[in-house]
Amino acid sequence: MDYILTTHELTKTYGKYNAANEVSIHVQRGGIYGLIGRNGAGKTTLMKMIGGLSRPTSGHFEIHGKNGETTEQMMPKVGILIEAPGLYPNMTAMQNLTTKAIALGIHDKKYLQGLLEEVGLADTGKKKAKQFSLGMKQRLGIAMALVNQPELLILDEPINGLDPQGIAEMRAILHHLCHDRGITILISSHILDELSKVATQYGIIHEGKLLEEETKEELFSKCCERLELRTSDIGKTLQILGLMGFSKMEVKDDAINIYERINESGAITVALAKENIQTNEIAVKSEALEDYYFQLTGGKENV
Amino acid sequence: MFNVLRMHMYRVSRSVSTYVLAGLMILFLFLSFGLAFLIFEDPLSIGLADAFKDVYGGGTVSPSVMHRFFIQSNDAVIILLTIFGVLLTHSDFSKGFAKNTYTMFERKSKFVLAKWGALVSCVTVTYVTLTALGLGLSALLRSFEPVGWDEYLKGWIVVYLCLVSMLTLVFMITSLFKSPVGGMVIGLVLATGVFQTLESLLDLLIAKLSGADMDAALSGMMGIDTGEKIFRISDYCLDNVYLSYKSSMGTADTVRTIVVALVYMALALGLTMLLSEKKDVRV
Repeated sequence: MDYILTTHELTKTYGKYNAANEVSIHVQRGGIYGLIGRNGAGKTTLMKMIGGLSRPTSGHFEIHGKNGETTEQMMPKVGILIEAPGLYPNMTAMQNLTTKAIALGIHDKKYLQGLLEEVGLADTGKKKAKQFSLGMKQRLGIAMALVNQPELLILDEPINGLDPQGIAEMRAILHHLCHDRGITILISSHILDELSKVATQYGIIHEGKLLEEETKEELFSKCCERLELRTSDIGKTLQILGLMGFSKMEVKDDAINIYERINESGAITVALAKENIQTNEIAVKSEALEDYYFQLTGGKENV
Repeated sequence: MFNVLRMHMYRVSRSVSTYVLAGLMILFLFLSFGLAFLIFEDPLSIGLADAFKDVYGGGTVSPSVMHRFFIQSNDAVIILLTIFGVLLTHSDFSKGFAKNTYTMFERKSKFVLAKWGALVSCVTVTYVTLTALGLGLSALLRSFEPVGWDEYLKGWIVVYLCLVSMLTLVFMITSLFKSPVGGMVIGLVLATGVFQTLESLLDLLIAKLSGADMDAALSGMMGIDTGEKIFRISDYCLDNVYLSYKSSMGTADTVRTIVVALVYMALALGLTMLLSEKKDVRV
């Protein structure tokens, strides 16, 4: 697997409090990695460590296979937007962008204008950043993170506080950056529904610990509708289901979860009865992404 | 690192506060000129020149005297430069912009050095401008005598080093506490000479405890040299050496002033750079 970013037991401790506790994530190149967790789960701490704003108490990370100790070598290919975008309110979008570009030794105005066009801010002219909407500020923050032409973009809660229009615009920008420019994105959010629309890989973080890391397919297979079947003989049941053409199924505890043709419960019951297998329970079950998250993190009361 | 310095210069050039402070600085310079006119030209015939004889050295109204008048003894210069220094040091943190740039390098001390470089560059430009304006305005005074340029140049360099050193202290306090309050307080304290009183009292206490000649100690406190060697802590305090420095001083005092300025500067900058490597970037 081609990983652009891997962290190895990254830990950040403030006194006795573990803000990030031995977090090991693996971000695949070319995808969008969604870091899910409620406020205070450790998402920002993790991103700050990767971004060089905070020193890990222990552990290390690699970007492009280079160790986190050599930040100067790997950071030119990383763009970062942590929390709210840091902008000078009395400067225009172009002036804010120019300020960051000068620090990087970039003086190409056309290139910067292109970045503003990419995030839909090309026509803001002399309007100062303090007059921007939150969505515009976030998009300018992304443009600033893109100045150094990164291969990895780290975005911390970029959709936080945005209205539906702003969220849709942000989603479009993320899709464009990932699919058209091939930029890998590590994005954090506590808005599961939105993250589920863009991410291809997920890391669920809670109280500083990474609880699960899985691909979109793996996560959705756990959350989508399924036929849950309990019988007197699981082995024989699997054989019969196989003969009936079922392939997307798994055995979990004492039940068989079937993820296809879930409206054929009647046919399954009849087929099992013919083979003298007792059906103890057969029911269509589903779990929303949110429910799955709550189940992992210990319930809604934690949110 | 040079790019980061350029970035700071760019944002300073785009800031309204820079121009407001520059305007105020020039305004205060002209106010000082008005005062100089009253003192040295004495249009009201009230003999102010005699009253200020001790303060400005008396005798010739030379470039050195005018430099001391316009810049070194001008509280507004220190206060306005302090405000500028605090704004330059703190604004990228207060606006959150620092997180855009601090992620680029492993060594945060490079950013500290670049920002300090930008501060020194701005102070230098301001100092040179004030010098030129001060000399220009001085030339308008009939009593001005353009003599003693060697002494002037020596004083110009010493005052410059002390100013940069004091602003490095402001830079350190503002950087370490991530707050504009500490830096502002330091600037005001340096400008008003509040510490000088405390330092003098400490000098007397040390003289008393060490059994030194108290008359000589009191004379030293008043700025009168009795020739007796007495250890004075105020001789090594930056605010005191700056405010009490006169270009007519001997080589030993001049060297001591330069060394004090350089040591404070190096310690303040070194500590800021060192701690920036240890601390997380809070934005």
